[in-house]
Amino acid sequence: MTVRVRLDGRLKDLDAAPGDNLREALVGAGILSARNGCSGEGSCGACAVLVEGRQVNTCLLLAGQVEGQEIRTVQSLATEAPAGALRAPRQLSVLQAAFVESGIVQCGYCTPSMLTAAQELLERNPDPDREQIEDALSGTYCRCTGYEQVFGAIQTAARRLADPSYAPPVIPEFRDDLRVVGKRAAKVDAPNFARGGRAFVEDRVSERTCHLKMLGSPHAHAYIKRIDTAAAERLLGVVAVLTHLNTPKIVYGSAGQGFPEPSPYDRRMFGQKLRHVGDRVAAVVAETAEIASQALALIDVEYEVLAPVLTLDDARAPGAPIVHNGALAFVTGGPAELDNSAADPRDGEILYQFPIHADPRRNLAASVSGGIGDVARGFAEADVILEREYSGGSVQSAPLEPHIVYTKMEGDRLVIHASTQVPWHVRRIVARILDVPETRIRVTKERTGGAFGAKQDVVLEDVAAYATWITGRDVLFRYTREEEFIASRTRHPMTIRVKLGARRDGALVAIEMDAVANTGPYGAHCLTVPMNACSKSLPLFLCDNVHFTASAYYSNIAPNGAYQGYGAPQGAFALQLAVCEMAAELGMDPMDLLEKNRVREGAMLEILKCLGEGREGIPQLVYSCGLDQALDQGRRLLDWNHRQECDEADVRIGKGVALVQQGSGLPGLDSANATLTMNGDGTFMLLSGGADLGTGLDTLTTKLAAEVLCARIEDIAITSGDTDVTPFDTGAYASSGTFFSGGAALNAAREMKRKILDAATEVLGEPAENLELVFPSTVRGKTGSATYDAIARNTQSGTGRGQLVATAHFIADKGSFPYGAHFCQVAVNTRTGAVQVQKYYALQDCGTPINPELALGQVYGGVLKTIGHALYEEMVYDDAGRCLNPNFTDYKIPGIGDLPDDFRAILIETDDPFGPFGGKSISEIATNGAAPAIAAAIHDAVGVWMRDWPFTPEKILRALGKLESTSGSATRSELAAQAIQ
Amino acid sequence: MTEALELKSRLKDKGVFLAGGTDLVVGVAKGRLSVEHWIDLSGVPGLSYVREEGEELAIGPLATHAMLERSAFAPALAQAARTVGGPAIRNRGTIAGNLGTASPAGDVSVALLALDARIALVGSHGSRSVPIRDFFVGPGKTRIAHDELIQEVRIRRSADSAFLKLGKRQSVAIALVSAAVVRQRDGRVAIALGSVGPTPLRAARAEAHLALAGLAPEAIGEAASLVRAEVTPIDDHRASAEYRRAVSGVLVRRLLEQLAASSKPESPARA
Repeated sequence: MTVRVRLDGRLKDLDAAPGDNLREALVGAGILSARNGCSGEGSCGACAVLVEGRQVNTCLLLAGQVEGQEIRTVQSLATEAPAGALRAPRQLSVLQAAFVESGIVQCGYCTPSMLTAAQELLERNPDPDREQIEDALSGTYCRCTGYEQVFGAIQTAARRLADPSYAPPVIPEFRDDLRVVGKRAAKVDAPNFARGGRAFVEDRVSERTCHLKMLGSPHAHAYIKRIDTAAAERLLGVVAVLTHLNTPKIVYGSAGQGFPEPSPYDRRMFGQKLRHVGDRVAAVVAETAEIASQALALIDVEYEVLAPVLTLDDARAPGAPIVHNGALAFVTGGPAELDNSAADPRDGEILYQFPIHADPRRNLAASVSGGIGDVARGFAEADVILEREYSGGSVQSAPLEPHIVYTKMEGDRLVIHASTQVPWHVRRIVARILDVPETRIRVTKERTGGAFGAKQDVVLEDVAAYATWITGRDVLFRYTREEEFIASRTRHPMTIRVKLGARRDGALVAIEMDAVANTGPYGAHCLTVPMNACSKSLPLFLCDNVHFTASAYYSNIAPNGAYQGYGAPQGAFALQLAVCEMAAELGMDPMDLLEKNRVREGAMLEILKCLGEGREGIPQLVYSCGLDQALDQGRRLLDWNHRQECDEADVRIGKGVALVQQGSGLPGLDSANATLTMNGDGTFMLLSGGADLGTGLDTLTTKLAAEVLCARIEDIAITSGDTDVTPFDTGAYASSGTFFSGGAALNAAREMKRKILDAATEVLGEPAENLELVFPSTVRGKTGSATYDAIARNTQSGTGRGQLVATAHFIADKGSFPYGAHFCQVAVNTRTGAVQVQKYYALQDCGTPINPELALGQVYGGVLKTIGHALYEEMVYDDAGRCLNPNFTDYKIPGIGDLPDDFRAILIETDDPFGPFGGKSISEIATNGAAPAIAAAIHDAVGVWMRDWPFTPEKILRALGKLESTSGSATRSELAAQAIQ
Repeated sequence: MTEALELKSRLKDKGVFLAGGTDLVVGVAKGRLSVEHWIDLSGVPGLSYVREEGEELAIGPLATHAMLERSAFAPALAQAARTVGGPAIRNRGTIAGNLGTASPAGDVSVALLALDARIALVGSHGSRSVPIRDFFVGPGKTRIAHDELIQEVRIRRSADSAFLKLGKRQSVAIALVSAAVVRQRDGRVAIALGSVGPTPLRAARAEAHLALAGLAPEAIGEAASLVRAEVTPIDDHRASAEYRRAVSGVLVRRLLEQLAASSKPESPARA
């Protein structure tokens, strides 16, 4: 049927089937910006547009309901065309421009819906206050930005609409000696996002694309006894049905880590053993999504259902069901004699690149231990010893764009349009599974609609690539929101035991830390995540006697993997809160205890020699550390020593603090490359291997090149993360972007500078030592000057030396550590158990903030996610291992209404010798402070230690002794009992 | 409306009435519902109104939550409407849809129950009026016959009213518990709660106690404990029954204290 509407100012007939929702009809009409983040549930707001001037979720409307109505999308927002011109398509409206310059645009997936919500608000209210903005955006969810900067963006737009000369309050800028580094600049990809332009994988899909749908296991733990796909294969429009019987048997690991990986190769494209609800049983490739779904229903499977392993206790119990009972093999370093006699061939096999101290027969996926000094002696010297256990549940990274991949053949080559953090690892892993050389595969990283670590894993690419490879057809595989919950990658639930020994004066003399992770059905990141829980928390304290163990166990819950922070949030929660508890034991102010023991500049971090990702680590010297300023400023801002009372009788107020750190990539493991080429007019192309996840990495590398080359940012065009076009980069993980991808761009720019000077000697007839680069794009000598334009024309002429091309790489044997202190103030309602975060101040040292407003956005986003994790986010499983809340209606991510009342990210500038212009990472560190700082504040308010996140109102009420029974699982009530202490 | 009813009697079970769509279209997307024919009411003129008629408020079936939240007639109703979702939901979701869905957690339903709303139904055999206390039968079940539609909802002016909801997080969320209280102009107090039973429910014993004892602090305390005894919550993945029971008393106590102080809450209802 046809539905006539006025779409963005023009009459348009939408084609729609009678049951189609409006979102589908709009996509059919080429409107890409109405995004599908919740599988049509109306719970994410990403598909909202204005219908008759009002915000409406287009997934909740049938297309037929809007006949004759006016629909406006983000595409209608651009300013009116000047007289005589048809339109001005590249011009941004005042509102769009304010979004772009405020730093509120990160991955860009929800930007159009935020913009239309803001537009509606401004049309009815030209001067909205904070509360009105909060209400207008209360149904629009964003996982990247933490929302805070949207208030400034909308208010700036409002004032500029009234007075075009309005200048918004300046955000802090850094490094007076530099021109673009440390200064505010539009994120290079933000204008396109603000216009709702083509950017994401789903925007590349051709009309004749086949759809891949996966039949997920209904059981958490089972064997496939029999599978019959004949009826599905007979269905008209079905192109292929894939199962464990007709797909490659090669084992691989999905963790997109550098080769050789410290994660086991313990999965196949399809296995006969199913290890979690939603695990791959069979895939259908069909000409439409509807046919694919119908075909899935025709697949007949007989299962042998096994008892599931859900918790760490289940996994470690004597006689526990074995999640991986396959044969073991080692590439290097395996035991001389391997006994695989008890292996079950239906379980497949596990291949280790090198030993990671696993014992799959006991469900042990990996383990490591180490230490410095002598903890036994340390504890013997201690006046006070405290031993506690901390834990946390499964939380989702929840990118608004679920996992998605689009694969197609171009000639004899396979092209993978991926939403990935690791284009080269995807190519390597897929080439291995398909058994083809890497020449046959091109991976193009599109813009990612949020990644957060979940897209470091190869979750979809292998099977879509294989389907295209064998059928020759274009294939789209996009997870539903439910699949994203149960079958992507989430944060490892961990239980961490901490034992501290301190002298009366507060000096920590021994620390023992035992981190045990539940890795779920497969071992992606199983060694490195629990290890990182230790390696990003222990070095915050200068203690001579430290011992740690880190281990991970297999289970049948949803798969776990990398997630922003990578174990550090769990480790920080345990160790920081334990130190707070120690302060209470000692009768000390926790800030004094932190101050007495914390890391400082010049310290040698010996413990890192035992924390090397499966290899020998390197002790590191702390060259820069901004904790002095961070603690000092935070203490004053929060008025730390002032005890705050609340007017409401049932409400108590408390304050908390936590120290945080992260790394800047993995020295000795990561590597990055970049190329700069000069165009014929003296502008540049920057080819960076780096994978921008919405964080602003492309902007950062562009700015570094612009700084060195004395060029305008607009005179450098960047292409990144494409295995055919750009040079190799290990990828965007471990907070490596600034340091490694940035370092490579910086080195390439320096090499280009050298080449420009060299070429200019010919043009100017002066020796290179007389020449210098000056802004804009000019070489100045003692006698004359030449523009890059002139140099380009000279070098590219028939008698020239050739186009100027500079390639450089970056590796490191030293690291730079970002540090920070997080302060918060909470109000706890002692009758409902509800916690309100009143104030949250995140003070972060990221060396030189290269993109200050984007760095702030990273901090706001990291903090807000983890406030959600700390207070209410949790995947809940039933006894059979089914997740009960795999959707945004029941699994709540923070909305704009959940911001702390007073929320501030503050950048502390330090001088670091290694990173580009002294830059350190900022992408993960801000996720580490919320849980311990909030738990400490809750204790300060009401006197209970919450040692198991999330700190739900119910758990708090139970801890306060306000609920009599101990309903819920035994572990829950035990934890509650512990928390009451 | 007549045409819609005729269509429905012709299509029987194959025809499904559709108003704002915020619930039914999700049902289709999630595969809970399969619909052959939609009978779209959203284009029918004259069904979307909220108007004061003397001492009563008349609410058209397609009045949206956004319209209800702007009405000052009964604070509890406006507060409940405002907590339903973000503007994109409130601009579209209707009162008829909210009532017809009969969710135990329906925020607006809880407010209307405390306000003793009367629901006018119209069908091919004529009209009838059902008091809201008799309207909800179970989760997702009401007294609406298959060939009937909600024609109008009416409430009487009250002296004061208030609504509160406790969700898992601070902002928009499904209620773990919600409650509304109303003081009628004759002084009687009504208490309704959501998410603590198969349907929104009235706390009859607590109301009876207040009818005798008034809104003195001890009476409020006693009413709150009667509420805890009256509710019939279940354990689910959102909260335990015990927590819901405890918090029911807390919410009602807080609302009654507000009534007693005769101060109206200004900002969106939040626990």
